Amino acid sequence: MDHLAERYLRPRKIPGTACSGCGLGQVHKKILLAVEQSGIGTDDLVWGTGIGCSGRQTFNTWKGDNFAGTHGRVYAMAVGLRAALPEEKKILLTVGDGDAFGIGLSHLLHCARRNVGMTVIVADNFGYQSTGGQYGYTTPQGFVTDSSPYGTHEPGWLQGGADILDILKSAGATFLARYSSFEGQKAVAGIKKALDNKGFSLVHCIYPCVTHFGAVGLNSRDNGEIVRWFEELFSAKNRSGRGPHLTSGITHDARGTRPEFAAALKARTREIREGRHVPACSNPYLKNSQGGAEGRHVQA
Amino acid sequence: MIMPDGRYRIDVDFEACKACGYCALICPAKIFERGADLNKKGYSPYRPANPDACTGCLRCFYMCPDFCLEVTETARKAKDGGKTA
Repeated sequence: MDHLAERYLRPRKIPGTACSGCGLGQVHKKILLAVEQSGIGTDDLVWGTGIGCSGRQTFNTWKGDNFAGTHGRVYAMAVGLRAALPEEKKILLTVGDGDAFGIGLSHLLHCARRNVGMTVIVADNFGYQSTGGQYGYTTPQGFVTDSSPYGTHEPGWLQGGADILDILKSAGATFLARYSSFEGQKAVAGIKKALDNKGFSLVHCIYPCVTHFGAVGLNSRDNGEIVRWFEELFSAKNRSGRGPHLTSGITHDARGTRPEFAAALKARTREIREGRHVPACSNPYLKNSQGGAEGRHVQA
Repeated sequence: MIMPDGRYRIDVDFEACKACGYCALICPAKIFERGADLNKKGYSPYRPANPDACTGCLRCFYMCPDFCLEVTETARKAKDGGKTA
């Protein structure tokens, strides 16, 4: 076990049950490096996990407080936690591509809209690999998977002119970045900035699945072959035409430009309690149409 | 595993290694090689066969997905050949 695992992870969970060659541990390690370099302790951060490979492998590994969400709903649970926890406590979620960009996309977009203070790390292995390798929302078009024996027939969130990060940006996210799990300190620096943001941050980390996506989609379980394909995805020259063209790095950094959800909610509640709030329009159902402490339903 | 003559010490956790081979793939100095012994999980883990060639680039550390590889800088390569490490 390395020093990161000894310091931050529960020994009974390491080594995990991931397949040999699974890149999820690379993402996990980059998060821990960012945590270490930010000076965050196990008491300073609550770790939530989704469902799938990413949730299974990171669940309950964190020595501090942690929780597991139902599929795609971990964001909604984190909103509640955000409202309940003190501002300085960080919330980090490790989820998969199916959880974030499909099943839980609506929750995710609403978290971005409200700029809820949380850091979402989407560990993307191009499909539903823990259930046998069915295609998902980022599976490149034309790739053979367990559920698309003739190749996927539609573009995912990374092709056909769409980019899920653009959608999250439009929704109001204040920090967005994308890396491959093979990157080093560059990815760690991005995750550090995401953790630093007092608002909604999302880091999209693409990692290899050798057992399903590699073996079926790329026709190879060879790490060298898979690393080459990943390099191609992020290369400006690309290429073989296999897969989307991606850019690594921070795609959107608007830290500090929007009020954070819980802080704004608490300030608003305080204003109403103290009768200082000014409504956008008067409320006929409140006696005191300016709102305020005496405001209550009008009795007939 | 202490390598007193090198500047960096490389530890591979024999039981935790799943023999994925990313370390050997990425290492520019070709330090790692696959061992012959099997661990309890049935993998034959990689080992640092030539650790003196390590330059401390940490690529293997960033690549290892199973938290089983550690690169530690021992003492700076001193005039005494690192015997103080």
